[in-house]
Amino acid sequence: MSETADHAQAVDSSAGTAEPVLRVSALGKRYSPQGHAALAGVTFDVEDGELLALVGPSGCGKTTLLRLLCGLMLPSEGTVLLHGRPVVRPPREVALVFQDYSRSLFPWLTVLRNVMFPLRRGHSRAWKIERAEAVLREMGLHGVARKFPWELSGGMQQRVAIARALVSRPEILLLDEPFASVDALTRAELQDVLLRVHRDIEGRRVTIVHVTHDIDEAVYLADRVLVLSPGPGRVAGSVEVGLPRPRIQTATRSSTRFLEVRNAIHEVISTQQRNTITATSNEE
Amino acid sequence: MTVRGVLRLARRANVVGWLFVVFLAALAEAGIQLFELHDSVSPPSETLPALVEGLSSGELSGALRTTLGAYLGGLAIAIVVGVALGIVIGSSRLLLDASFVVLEFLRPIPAVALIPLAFLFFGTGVEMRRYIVAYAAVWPILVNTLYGVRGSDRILHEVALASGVSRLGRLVRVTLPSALPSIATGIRVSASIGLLVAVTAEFVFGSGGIGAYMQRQQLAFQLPEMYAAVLLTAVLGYTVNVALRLAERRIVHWTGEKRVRWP
Ligand SMILES: Nc1ncnc2c1ncn2[C@@H]1O[C@H](COP(=O)(O)OP(=O)(O)OP(=O)(O)O)[C@@H](O)[C@H]1O
Ligand SMILES: [Mg+2]
Repeated sequence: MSETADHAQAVDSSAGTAEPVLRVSALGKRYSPQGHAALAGVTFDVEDGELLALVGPSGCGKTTLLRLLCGLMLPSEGTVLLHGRPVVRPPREVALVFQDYSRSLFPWLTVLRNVMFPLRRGHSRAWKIERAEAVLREMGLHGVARKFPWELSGGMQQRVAIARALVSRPEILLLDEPFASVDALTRAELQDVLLRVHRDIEGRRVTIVHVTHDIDEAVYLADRVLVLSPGPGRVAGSVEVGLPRPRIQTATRSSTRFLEVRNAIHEVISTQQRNTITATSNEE
Repeated sequence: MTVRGVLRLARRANVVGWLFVVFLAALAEAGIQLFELHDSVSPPSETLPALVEGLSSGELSGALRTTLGAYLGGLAIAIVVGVALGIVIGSSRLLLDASFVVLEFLRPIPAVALIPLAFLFFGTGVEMRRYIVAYAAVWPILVNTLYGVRGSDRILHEVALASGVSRLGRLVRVTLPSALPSIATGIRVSASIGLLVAVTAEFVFGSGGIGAYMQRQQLAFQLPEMYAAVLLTAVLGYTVNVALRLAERRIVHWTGEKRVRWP
């Protein structure tokens, strides 16, 4: 599938001085008033057209952060600004692909109906069907429109989930460990599908926030990698990837720059772990 | 047709099951003749003609129609009320807590115990029996709907929420379909309870329907006629169950049920 990256121009990662699409400031979340904080003081920007990867260990608050970004719940502290306006309910411009694709597709709906699901009333039925079929074609799923999700392989189901997220032409796509439960080959294929979505889907670019615990995946895909540290989740560091696009599985992964970036991220993680250990031993 | 084809067809129509029924009937016939139990049991060879005679003379078929009226009417009320209440109560923590005690208090009351009350309100006719059936049949449907609603996946609700679907829209597009498999189970349980209660109520009041027919034949010591009515009730229950299974397999097609063979 790496031929999907063939005829693209190199894209510069930092969109310069333009206003960020998403501005996250001093974001904190507690699930219960007395409980421990899942997130604390998280601050970062997402630039227009950027592909930002979030990495961090299990339980550090990655899902919590995405749920705050798409307005599924409200922060306990701080704000999420979308184009300068606070996010208080799920915005139309943002779409989310859930961590567990097998639970996020409606088993009683065909693939086509699943993809049509987010389309709002006020459009004709014919238009909705046409729209969903267009996205399915774009994702290479035209053959399975009338099947049910449970009749498809895991990789296909995840494509359907991505197609559904794209059907209402979001500006921002949030993905929560989307490829965690597929095999390595399918994962590589889906990574390239995502790169194509980022670069050009139906003639436009999509800003992407991609959560993963796979550092190699983060480096391969992203313009910038944000490292989160656990308990409570905060930003431990940010690493610019600076690899040229198009990215190609074998070539990109074997370049020296790839190794540099990967090491830089590991460096951030181990520094942060040392700090945590020092901090806890000081407390004692 | 190949041997395997014949076998497959036989399995689908459950020929074995029906052969076993015939075998049991023959066994009963032989037993009754052998031990001379004619006084208390009617053998199949007399029951079946009595059934045919009752249906063709119109007496038993009229009773069947009366029973069906109360039974199916009551079941329909139970389905509408049970599903609607279950979805509304189940999708709100507050309503669930508020109604829990009342529901658990009412549920153990046997429907037959309400006959005197229903008698005061609706008399002894079909209408009274319809409400008794509805009362008895509503509980399995309500409880199963509640379970189905509570068990619906949070992620699916979030998918709808993130797509901007309204609260009512989520009820119809997420909660209801999620609960459907469990609602179907509730309806099947209710269908057999409802028939039981319908026939019992007729038997108690003797004012019409299969139950009353049964009671009249019993008082007159017309054993074959009485057993014919029992047999008819069984056939009715079986038919309703098969019909519901078929409907369920079509409507709730996404659950594992379809991959499990059921005769
Ligand atoms: N609904 C909830 N109620 C209470 N606590 C929660 C809830 N969801 C998450 N948490 C807590 O918040 C913290 C962060 O959880 P979150 O799911 O965001 O982590 P994550 O980084 O996505 O982990 P994973 O990589 O395993 O998906 C955890 O300590 C978790 O126990
Ligand atoms: Mg998570």
